Amino acid sequence: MIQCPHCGKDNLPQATRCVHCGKDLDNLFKIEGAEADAGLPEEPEISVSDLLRTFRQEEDSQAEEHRPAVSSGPSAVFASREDTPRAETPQEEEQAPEWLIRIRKRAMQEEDAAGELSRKFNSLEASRSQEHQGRVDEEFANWIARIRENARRENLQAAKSAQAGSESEGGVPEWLRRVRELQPEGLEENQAVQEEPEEPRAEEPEQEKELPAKAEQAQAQEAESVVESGPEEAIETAEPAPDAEGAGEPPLSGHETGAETPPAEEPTESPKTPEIKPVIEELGLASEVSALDLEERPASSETLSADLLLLRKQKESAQILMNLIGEEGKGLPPAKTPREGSRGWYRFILGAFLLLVLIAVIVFVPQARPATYENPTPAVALKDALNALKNGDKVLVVQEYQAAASAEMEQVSAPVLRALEERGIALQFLTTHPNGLWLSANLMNAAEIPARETAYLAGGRLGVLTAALLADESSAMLPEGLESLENYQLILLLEDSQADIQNWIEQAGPWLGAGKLGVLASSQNAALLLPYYDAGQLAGYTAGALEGRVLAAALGQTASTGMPLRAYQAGLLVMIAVLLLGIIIKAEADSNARHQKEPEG
Amino acid sequence: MKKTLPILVAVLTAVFILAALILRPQLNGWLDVVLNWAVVTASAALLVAVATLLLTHLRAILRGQRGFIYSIILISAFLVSFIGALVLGLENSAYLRWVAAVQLPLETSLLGLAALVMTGAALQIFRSRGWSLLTISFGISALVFLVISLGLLQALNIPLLSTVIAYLQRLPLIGARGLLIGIGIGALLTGLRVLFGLERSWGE
Amino acid sequence: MNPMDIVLGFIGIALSVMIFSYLLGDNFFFRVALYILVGVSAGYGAAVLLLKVIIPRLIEPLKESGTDAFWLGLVPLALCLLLALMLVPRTVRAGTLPLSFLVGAAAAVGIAGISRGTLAPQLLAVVNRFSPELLLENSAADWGGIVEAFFILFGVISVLFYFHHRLSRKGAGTQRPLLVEGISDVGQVFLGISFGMLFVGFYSAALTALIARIVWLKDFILALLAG
Repeated sequence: MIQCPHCGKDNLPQATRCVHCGKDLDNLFKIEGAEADAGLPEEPEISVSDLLRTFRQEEDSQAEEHRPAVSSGPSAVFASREDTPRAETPQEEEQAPEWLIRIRKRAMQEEDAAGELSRKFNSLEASRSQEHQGRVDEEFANWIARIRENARRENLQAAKSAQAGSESEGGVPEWLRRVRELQPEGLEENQAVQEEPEEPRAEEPEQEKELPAKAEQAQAQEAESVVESGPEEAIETAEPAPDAEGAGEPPLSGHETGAETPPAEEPTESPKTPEIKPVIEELGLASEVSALDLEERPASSETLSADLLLLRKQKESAQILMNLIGEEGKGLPPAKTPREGSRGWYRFILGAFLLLVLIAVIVFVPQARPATYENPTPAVALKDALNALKNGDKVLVVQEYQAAASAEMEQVSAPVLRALEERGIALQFLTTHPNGLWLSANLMNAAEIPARETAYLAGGRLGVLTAALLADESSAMLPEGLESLENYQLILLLEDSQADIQNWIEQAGPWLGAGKLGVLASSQNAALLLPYYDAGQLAGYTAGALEGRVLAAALGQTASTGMPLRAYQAGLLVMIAVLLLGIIIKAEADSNARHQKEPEG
Repeated sequence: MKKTLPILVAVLTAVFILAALILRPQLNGWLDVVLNWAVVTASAALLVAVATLLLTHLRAILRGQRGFIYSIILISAFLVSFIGALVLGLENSAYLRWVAAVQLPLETSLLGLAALVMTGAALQIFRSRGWSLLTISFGISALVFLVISLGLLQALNIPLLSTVIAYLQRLPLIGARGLLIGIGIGALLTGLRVLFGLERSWGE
Repeated sequence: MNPMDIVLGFIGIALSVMIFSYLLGDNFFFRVALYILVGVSAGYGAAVLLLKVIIPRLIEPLKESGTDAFWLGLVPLALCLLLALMLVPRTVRAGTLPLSFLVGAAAAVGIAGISRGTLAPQLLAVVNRFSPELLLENSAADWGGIVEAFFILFGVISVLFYFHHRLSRKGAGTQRPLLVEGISDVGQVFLGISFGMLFVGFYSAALTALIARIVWLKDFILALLAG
């Protein structure tokens, strides 16, 4: 027996709703030996898709039934076999957690609400191992065995209680006595559950009046659930109850049944089940039950099937929980995407071709003479800004590129730094990336300027804003040696990341005024720097090694020999050829497809 | 309370910083303090992220999970690098040379590999994406800018050609501005959602 | 070349080859190289954060007991301790508070930065092209400037239209009016042009890195041969 957390009274182990107070028992997913809730977050998000599906199914069936839920009273023992879907009252909706209500609403509103989650969940399901499933099944089998054993014991107790209870008819309502007369075995279990409610009976007259209707309704619901499930399923999963001897025996009333008589365990195992019908009709529930053909159903399967329906559902829930427990801490598996397959050789051949071309050009082709031509407008503007600097002016060099782009960035930056150093401009180095500390040292080495310390500014955009706002140079928040940003004539950003550039433009730019930021960038940033330059937020910028060469020449410096221009051009030519080839292949494929369609047409 | 407190903290922090940025002279001192807290906390968060990474790989080793050899490699590399910095100091030239000798070839090669992979991808791009205004304009633009990047046309020093090239180089301004504005609006809305307590990006 | 240079050079070659082995497919050596990269970067980054931020800005102020710095330093200390609790599975939720503080701070800084640093200047740059000072040249209309101003205005609007159109089409799947489709198509063209330049820019950066690696390899081998 399990205790209701609300009223503290005992309930059947498989009950999901307290038969005494009618509140949820919250133990639908409880599995002995498996602490389902322990490792789970309060709102397990992963299971939403599957739970959603379950809720939707429930709601669909509720919509079909339009039947009020049985929530209290002794007859709730039938209803407690919660497989019968119950309509949700507004009160229950209020009791339901907010997330559940939201999920339900969404499920109702959006047809494909579960699309993405379901897809991920399906892939999760697919990735689950057989071993895992086996464990779930084993756990479930044990669990069923325990529940059945408990049920058998309780039925035995119920029979005894029924006998005792039958001797005093004082508190037994008329409807119950009539039902007992018609189906004594079936109500023995009912009687057992009634034991406690019978005590406060005198205090609950109103509730008592409602009981008959609820009891019959519950019976009808149970019967209906059996119809829904189908007898085959019930038989398939039902194990023959050793003490279900009443199946072929004549009906015995509670009065007639002695304590020694083996009790007919399940109420609906009685062959006299159809005899309930007149009682139901008399109680005004005929219309609801009339659709059920009770006679056609194998009576012995009814109770078991209700159990099994309940268990099947709980098994699904248990499986969901086991999945969740098993997947706790793991990420969702990526949705399956079609693999490249045999087309991988394209990559290898083209990659190897490009590599060979570059090696050949680097090894065999002599260096090209540097051409002299004008850079794009932003690069010219930067050159002008650099030329406008005077001896003694301070320039803050913000080193923010990563090691990957160091080859390109050193090509662009080294001649500029050398030119500034030669003109007596005070350079101060700052970085916001840990790697910037040693990359700055490499850059100074490449630029052939005296090594100096690089300050480290932590905190990304927060750090940049702090540096831009701080006027007090003694503040511990500024790296040692760094002055207020307003003191620098130019802040030269060495960048390969758009996010870093934007950090400076957005966080420092508005506080510094126009024309204080200049950028030496990787070629990948050229496109997105253009709008900032056009809006007057940058003094100018140079992007890429090619522009860097031209700028170096304009500043009277020789470009670094680290990158052979011919090899660069050869690489670009390979890409041009490949793009054209791609266009031709696509055009040819389209043409072939058209030709194939024409004869068919 | 469990859920409202973080929202409250996020909203109050955001409101305070925005107010301080607007009323800068009055709240400047406190703004510095709060920003300092944020910077230190952000750094600590990064350290926690690193620690989580290590713990994950340590667990993989202890459980003997498939591919645990990679975890051993990662943790070994981490320990050498981390302990080296603590023992020798961050400014030690031998240590920095060692870090550079590992990181530089790896990162440069990875970016170089991207060039090789892009060559293969470029062949497939039209086949996989089909013809659309976007792919056609992309293809033409890519070809034009590849040709401009060669630097051969500029070297001819023909004034008309130089003007055309200059015009072409300005053409991406429109799309880039649209992109920046579009992304900016998206980011602004996300920030406003935090400000109004609608966004919970701290893992709830 | 000294022995250290040779050793480091060979390490560099080995690591480069391991990365380029990806051309043959995802393999053991490629993965080893990646894990080394992650390990070394994480180790170096953690050391920098510890030595350059945590110790000087969190620990040092706490040594000055009773001062303002000490009291103000208790707040980040508490936040950092809560963050550290995230490492223990049972107390993961403790990190919610410092993370929410960070999210709030980042959001505020983002709102201020984006609005003042990107949105306002970029929108003004579109509008300012219509200012009379720019469009009048010696009291005569600068038609080139006027056309360009309209061109940019229309282009930016069409790109934003395309973004919006694409999102709403994903959601609804409805057919839009012809005008909307037309403007959206123009946006696609402008966006395609920008993507083309971005593609070339990224390829150029990658190509430069590749060439630099080959050049470095050639120089190393030549230096080795030269002794």
